[in-house]
Amino acid sequence: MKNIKRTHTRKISPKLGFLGFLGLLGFFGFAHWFLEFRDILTVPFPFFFFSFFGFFGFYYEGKMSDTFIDERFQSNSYRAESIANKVALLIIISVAILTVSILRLNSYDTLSVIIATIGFSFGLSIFLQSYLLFRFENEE
Amino acid sequence: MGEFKCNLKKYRQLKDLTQEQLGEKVGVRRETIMRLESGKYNPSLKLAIDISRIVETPIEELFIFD
Repeated sequence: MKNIKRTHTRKISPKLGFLGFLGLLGFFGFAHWFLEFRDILTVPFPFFFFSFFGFFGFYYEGKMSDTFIDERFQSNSYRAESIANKVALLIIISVAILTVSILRLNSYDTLSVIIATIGFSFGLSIFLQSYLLFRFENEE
Repeated sequence: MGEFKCNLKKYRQLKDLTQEQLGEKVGVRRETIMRLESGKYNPSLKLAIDISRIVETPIEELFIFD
C-alpha cells in the first residue's frame, strides 16, 4: 500500500475538546473506598478513564485545523511531544517510587495509584502535545 | 544554537517577492518566512539552500551567524 504523506493537519472542531470532561469518569475508581467493590472489581480499571482528560487537547488541535505541515510545524511538533512525554514519564516514575517506598499501601491500593497515575499521565501527555504545539506555533 | 542575523527580507524584496510567494516556492508557510526573517527560526539546510536559490544569493549572505 502506498504511504500517503499528510500535508495538512486534520480538520476537527475545537468543540471536541469538551470530550475531555469524560476524564471525570476516572473518579469512579474511588467508589471502592465507599462501596465494597473489591470482590467484583478485582482491577480498579475506572482510574484509567483519567486518560480521557487528554481529549482537552482537541481544543488546541481544532484551533490548528487544516494547517500546512512545513518543517517548522514538524520541528515544533517533535519538541512538544518530547516535553510532553518527558513530563508524563517523570510523573509515572516519581509516583511509582513514592508509592512503593514511602506510602506502603496494600496491593489493591498500590494498583489503584499506579493505574490512576498512568491514566492521568497518558491524558496529560496527549493534552500537552497539542497545547505546547499550539504555544510554540503562536509564540512571538 | 546561537543567534543569527537574517538578511532574507532585503534580498526577498529585491526579487519583488512577498513572504507568501516565497513560502509557496520553498514549501513553507508565510509564518515560517516571517519568523525566519526576524531570526526567530533556524532553518534546515535544505530550506536555506532552497531559499538561497530562489533569491539567487549565497547562503552566507542570507544568514550570518555570530
